[in-house]
Amino acid sequence: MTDLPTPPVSPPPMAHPLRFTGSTAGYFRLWLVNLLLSVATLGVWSAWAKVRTKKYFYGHTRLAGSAFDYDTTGWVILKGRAVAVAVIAVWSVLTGFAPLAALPLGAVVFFGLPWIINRGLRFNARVTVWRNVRFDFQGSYGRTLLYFFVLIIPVYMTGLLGLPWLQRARSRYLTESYRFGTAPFHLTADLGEFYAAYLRTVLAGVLMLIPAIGIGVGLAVGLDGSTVLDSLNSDQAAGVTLVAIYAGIFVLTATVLPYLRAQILALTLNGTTLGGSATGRLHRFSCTLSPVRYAWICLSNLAAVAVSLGLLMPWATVRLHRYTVGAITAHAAEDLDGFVSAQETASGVISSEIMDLEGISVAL
Amino acid sequence: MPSDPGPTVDGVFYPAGTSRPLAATLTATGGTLSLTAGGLIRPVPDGFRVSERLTGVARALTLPDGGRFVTEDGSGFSALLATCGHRDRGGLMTRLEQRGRLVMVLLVALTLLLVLGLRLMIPAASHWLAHQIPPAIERQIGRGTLTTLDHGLFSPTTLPEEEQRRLSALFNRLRDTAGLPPEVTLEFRQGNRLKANAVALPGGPVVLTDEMVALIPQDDALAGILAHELGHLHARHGLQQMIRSSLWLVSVTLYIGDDAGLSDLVSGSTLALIDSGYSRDDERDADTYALALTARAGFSPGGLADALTALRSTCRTDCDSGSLLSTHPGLTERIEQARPR
Ligand SMILES: [Zn+2]
Repeated sequence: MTDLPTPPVSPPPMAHPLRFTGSTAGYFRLWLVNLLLSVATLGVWSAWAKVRTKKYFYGHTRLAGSAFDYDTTGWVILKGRAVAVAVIAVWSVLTGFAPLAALPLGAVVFFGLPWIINRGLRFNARVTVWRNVRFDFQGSYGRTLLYFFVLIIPVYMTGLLGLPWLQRARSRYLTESYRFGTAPFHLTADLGEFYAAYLRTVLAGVLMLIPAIGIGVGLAVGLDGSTVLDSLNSDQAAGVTLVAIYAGIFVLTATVLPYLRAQILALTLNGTTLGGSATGRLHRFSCTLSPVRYAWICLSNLAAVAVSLGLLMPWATVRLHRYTVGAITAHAAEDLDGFVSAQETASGVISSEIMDLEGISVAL
Repeated sequence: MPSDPGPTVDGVFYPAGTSRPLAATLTATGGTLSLTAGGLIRPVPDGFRVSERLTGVARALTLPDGGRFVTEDGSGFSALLATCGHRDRGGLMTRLEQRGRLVMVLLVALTLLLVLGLRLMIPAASHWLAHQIPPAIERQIGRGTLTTLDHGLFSPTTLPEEEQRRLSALFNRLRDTAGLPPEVTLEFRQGNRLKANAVALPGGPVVLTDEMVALIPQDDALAGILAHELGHLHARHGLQQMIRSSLWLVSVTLYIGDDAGLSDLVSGSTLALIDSGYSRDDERDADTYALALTARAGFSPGGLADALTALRSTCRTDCDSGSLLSTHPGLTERIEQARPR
């Protein structure tokens, strides 16, 4: 803020660890009130519930002493959600009652989704504020179509060998489409590390399959001589086997996918820089997320939520958020006062809600 | 300079669209707000926005020009807003959040009320809706179900043509006595996993499995089974059950919400449990209907009871114990009811 000349030797980067200041008890109370009001209003409150929940997590996530903010209102979300529900309802009726229209409708989805995804990501970016500067997303229709819909076809045809490559392309495209104010992000990531992450994930999956198969075979052999299976008829025995298989697949996806997600998040953040400073120096990020610990938190969260019939959901959400946030550090090349917002309004709430309702998640 | 400085709140001010913090103070004087930042005092013009109150989260006041005042002093900020008559957004929520026990009690009470209300409303609504659906559409649904079952469950019948014709004639006699339309036909299939069974599909065919024909060779007993299925058709039980389970599914999904992901877990088993009460009533109604119909069509009155007795002999376990979990009431209980007195 002073007019001193720039020192000839630039200072070493200043590390700003991200901090989560919320508490399980605090979020539990907020969640409970949201649940009550959502039930009492037959779901209408859920729009405000979403805003309060986001505001709680954003507002308790601090970087260099300043909190983030999710800057929109329940009304905006409600209007977007109402239109999104109408669009999805019309859609289901059309596909359900006019099977002949399936092909043209499929084409509409294929070519319409990239547009919806871009608008949804942009809405979510633009309502995210740190200090007084908004994020932005400037992905292009063509590249979203390419990276999320078109390139998956050749990748499947090569037996998924190109998947790590596609993942890096997606991460890079998304990262470099985000802006903080007018400052662009940039991603440098080694392709080999992406292949290593996928290889580790496949190995972990196989390693987990071996004990699973072992337990399955052991049970089958052990039960064969006993009377347990005899007392079940063949239908029930088939049912038990099916449940066991489903449980196995479930546990596998519930651990292996988070294991991969944590590695990709760490790879992406470690290679991300943020430019736009007056001196041209780049801010850096680092992420020390342990993939094993992350996968364990996801799996045990799921078990806790299921056993408690959803009551431990706030605890689980806070636990995962706290661990993730605590692993991220921003390394500022200079002070963080020089960012400037682009004057943009946050439109696209309908797209954001369609993505939410349909479970489309496009994230780093 | 105001002579009587009102309550103040310290914070930082970010000029429009910048991340550069300036130490700032927000002051309420005589009901109007003014902001001191960077050595300048400016009145806060109308049209400013206030972020909603959340425990432990910094409050923000955004000026119409995009400048943003942020303070960590939540209670001071609320008090300041109160002195100039501005609504404290999120204040009510924050107070509710402090009363965890009250909220919990209200939530449990409301949930119970909702479940009770739905248990009354959904069957009535399903009954009404099922009778609004035109027979042509109901038949289409039934045909669709049969196609699905043919793919997954049934295989073609192995009964001789002659036997099929004889049983169809028996079925038609019952159907015509019941006054049901001739579109209601009898279909023969191998039941496989369904074993000895008969199924009334909405509006349309009654499916009889070969295993059932083998188990129950007597015409009077078979007539009892078929009349029972016609009873389901007459009251449109199948359609009602379909509508009921979709209404429950929608309600449960709406209640649990979309971010829980628990609805998949809950849907199947819980819904079957909730619905089993109505299914038991449906079975009793169909039995009563069958007794009257077989008598009118001139079959021996003990047929249904004989058929149910034969079915019970094929059961290994839970034929009687299944009064809560299985869809049919205990067979023994039904046989008692079906015995001619
Ligand atoms: Zn029945």
